Amino acid sequence: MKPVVSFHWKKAQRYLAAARGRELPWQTVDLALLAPVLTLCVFGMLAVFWAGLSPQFSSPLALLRAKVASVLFGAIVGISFSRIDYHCYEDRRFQLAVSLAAIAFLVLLFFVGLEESGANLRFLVFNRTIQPTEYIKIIVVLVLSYTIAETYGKDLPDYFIGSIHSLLLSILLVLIALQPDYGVVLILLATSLSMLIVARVRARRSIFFVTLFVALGGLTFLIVCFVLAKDFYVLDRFRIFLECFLVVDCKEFQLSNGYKVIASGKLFGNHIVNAIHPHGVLPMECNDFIFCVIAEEMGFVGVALLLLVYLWFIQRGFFVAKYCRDFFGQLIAFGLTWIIGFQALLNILVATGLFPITGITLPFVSHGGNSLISAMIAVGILMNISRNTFKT
Amino acid sequence: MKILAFGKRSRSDLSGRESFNNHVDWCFYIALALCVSILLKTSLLQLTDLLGNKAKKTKQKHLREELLLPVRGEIVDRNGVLLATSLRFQTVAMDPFKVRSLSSGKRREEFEKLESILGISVNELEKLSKRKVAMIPVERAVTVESASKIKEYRRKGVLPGIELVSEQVREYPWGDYTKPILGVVRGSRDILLAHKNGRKPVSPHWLKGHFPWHLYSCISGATPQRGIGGIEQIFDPWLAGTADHYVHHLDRHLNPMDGFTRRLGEGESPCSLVLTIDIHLQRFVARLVQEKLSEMDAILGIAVIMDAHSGETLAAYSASLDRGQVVSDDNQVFTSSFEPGSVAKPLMMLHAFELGFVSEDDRFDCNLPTRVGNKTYKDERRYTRHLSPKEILAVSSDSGMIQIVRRIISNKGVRLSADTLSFLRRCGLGESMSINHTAISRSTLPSPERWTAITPSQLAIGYEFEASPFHLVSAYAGFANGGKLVRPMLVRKVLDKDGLPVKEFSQKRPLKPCFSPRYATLIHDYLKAVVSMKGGTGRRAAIEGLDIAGKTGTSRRLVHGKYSRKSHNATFVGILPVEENLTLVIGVFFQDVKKGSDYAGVVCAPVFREIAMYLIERGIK
Repeated sequence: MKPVVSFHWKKAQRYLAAARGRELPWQTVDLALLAPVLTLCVFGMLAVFWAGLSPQFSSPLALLRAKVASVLFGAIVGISFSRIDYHCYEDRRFQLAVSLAAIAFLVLLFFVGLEESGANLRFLVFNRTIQPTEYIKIIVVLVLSYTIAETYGKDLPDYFIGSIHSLLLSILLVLIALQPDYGVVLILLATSLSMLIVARVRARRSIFFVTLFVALGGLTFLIVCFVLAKDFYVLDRFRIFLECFLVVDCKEFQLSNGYKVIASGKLFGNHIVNAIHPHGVLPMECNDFIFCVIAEEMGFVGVALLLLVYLWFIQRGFFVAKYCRDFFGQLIAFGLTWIIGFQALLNILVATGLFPITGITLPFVSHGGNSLISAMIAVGILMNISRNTFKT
Repeated sequence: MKILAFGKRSRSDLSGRESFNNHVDWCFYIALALCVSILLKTSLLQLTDLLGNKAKKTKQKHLREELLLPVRGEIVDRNGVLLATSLRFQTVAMDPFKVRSLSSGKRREEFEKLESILGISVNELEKLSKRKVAMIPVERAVTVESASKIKEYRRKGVLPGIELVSEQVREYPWGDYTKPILGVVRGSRDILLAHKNGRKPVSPHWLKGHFPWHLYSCISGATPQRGIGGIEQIFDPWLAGTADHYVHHLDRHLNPMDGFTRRLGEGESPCSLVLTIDIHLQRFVARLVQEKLSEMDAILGIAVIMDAHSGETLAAYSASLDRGQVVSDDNQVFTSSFEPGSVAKPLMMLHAFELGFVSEDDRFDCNLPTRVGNKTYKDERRYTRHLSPKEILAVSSDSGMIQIVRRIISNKGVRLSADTLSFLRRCGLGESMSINHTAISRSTLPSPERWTAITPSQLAIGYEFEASPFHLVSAYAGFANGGKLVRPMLVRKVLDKDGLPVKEFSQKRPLKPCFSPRYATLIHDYLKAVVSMKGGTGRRAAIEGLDIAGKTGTSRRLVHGKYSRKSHNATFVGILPVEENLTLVIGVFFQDVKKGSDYAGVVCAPVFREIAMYLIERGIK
């Protein structure tokens, strides 16, 4: 009788022999980038389960199941994107197509979008909601990277391309602001400006870019705040922020409860039995304020750990950006890392009262498929850049 | 690793890649700085005690427990006619302390909003807000639209100090006719408070500031309706059900948030009751008693109709006369008890027959005054001949009854008290009468320690012990059904929310005879003579063609420790064969009948006759 073990051993040997001379799948994966992402996903699953204990949800397991499904689907999407060479995005027609598609989706949102809390942010397709702004963030990074890379150091005729792309981006920003989704506008503006600064776009050109962005951003803000009276809450949020900034005993409902939930975590976290957050005191506790849940359940140690993991991710993303072989890849790697890292930090700053409430999710952690999938797409593209950069 | 340079760059600048890397590093330092600031703020919250126990209080503050009682069960009669039902409605209530704490402008604004919703003038609302109570209802039973408007305002935090609470009200479609048996409920129109942690309920005037709803179980949402008296009380646990226990999570304005309500415990749904009462008969009896009560100027009138075999009570009504006004009493039909007078004579005669000291052929000289101890018993009527036991009952001769009792005394001696009391207990007297297995009606017998020489004689003519109408009707049912003691029943069955029977009541089977069937039948025959025989005291109850049996009883009322000559209790308990298998015992009782109409045969027997006529004409459904 043939020993079973030896049979498998021979099979493995055959496989390795066949694979010799080419890269094995695990050799192409940037584990230093994958590790923080997976850690954050684990954080997310735990946090979503805890947040699901709130009375508004029928079962915490249902939320957890949804989260696990999102992670798995996001992983598939991410792996797919990691297999697409990022140079294929460096195509004028592709750039134009995705820009126009993004604009079309945003315009369409005004007509067929689901209205939630006075904003049209999602489509309902096959009983699933799709939030285009989450994906548009990636498109903006791609388009901006292309624009900067194409126009960098070139003469005036190509300067026209930059203008066109800037205009497209500005239209995108205005449309998102009109929905309104100020959180995304803020992140896009911050990321765009960071990319311009990092790329050291020439003074004349940078003035053009910065002026255009700031003018349009400001215009959008003015339109939304003063023409549409319903959106005065933005000013109210600034007032709340000024009241609660550096003040522990805040009277504002959302922040004061957020503070109390965070405070009850102490150093090592509060046991779920004694926790406050399952009593429905937090608004949007599985999305915008999920950091509070982590802070309560895992304490100061957990918060420090979470921040370290995000820093790890940012550091690794920036590392890829620094060592990428071409400028376009560098800009994409920087933009995607910064858009995720900045969004995460902004979310935590909001939850801790260090920034006005914006309504953005915590990447990889919040409950919400669109946020997770778009983050996974970004990670996939980063992986591809990393693979191209460090390939032997 | 080969690092590629790209594009043109100015001479003054660093190389493009170095510059890029420097800027990226700066971005990382920004991220690091943000992380440090977050850690600082978090450490301020988590590692210091700046918030104190506010975190714990937050948990408590944003929870409100509510006990939501279901709508109390319905009560229907034997034919399914609705006798009692409960309605739930919304009440707008005001916390005057909280409203007064608002600025006058805001208060005015709030009152104007309320005026537009409820139509109550601002001045009236101002008056209400000056009251020094914790909570005051502004308007009860508001419309659904008004309630939803107020709810919406509350959600926005626009109407501080205004609460929307749900209450229940108990409706009795047949009003006073059913009040004596159904009783009433308390609590339907009060906003009650109960503390959730088992502490004492806080009296409203202790509350100085705003009303701390979040600390209390919001009982008002389930204002408990407790039955006080009658069926409502006896069957309260069935009718009330138990509350669903909810926990509401409150928003910033301390209003329950939609979708944030968790049910901690599920209550038992209330049951409905099917009574044995026939409401049309009840109404007829009620009207009759009310009419006769005012005619005779008595203080209390009671009528009870019971099936002699099943114990089902078809009607039970009591009314009293209060300052010339007839009032339906809540509970007197169950709770009143009095000395029955001559109605007790058949019982003692049956006892004498059972003991064998009297026979049907015995004759007694009832013209002779009979002396027992220091008391002399003498009939007012004169008789031409010696009376048989049957005639003694028919004419209700006290002297004859005393002579019978003396025979027992002379034979039994010292064991008399024990024997007599034991016999009376067998007849259901001397102990609380159970109605649907719940002791409610009272009867007292003299204790053996207080037994005197005249006690047996007094017992024989219906004094020195008390019995309720249900006791007497139940004992007389024994004559009609061959000596079996049936317990009165008012409830036939208990139905669950789906209409399926949860419990069905019936007599405990098999019924044991409480006294000899032979003598029970004999006494039944004697009682027929009371109605049919010439000179019988119950002649006015007779209906031609019907074998009606019955006994009148007139007893003096005990007023200030002495038997009054002016005030009497008049009783008639009759047995009416309605159909072949249906024999009804009808008891009619009037208390404090004034002189001139003091004979029960004159007062109560006609009432019995009218009821009997109605029953014969209409039949029993």
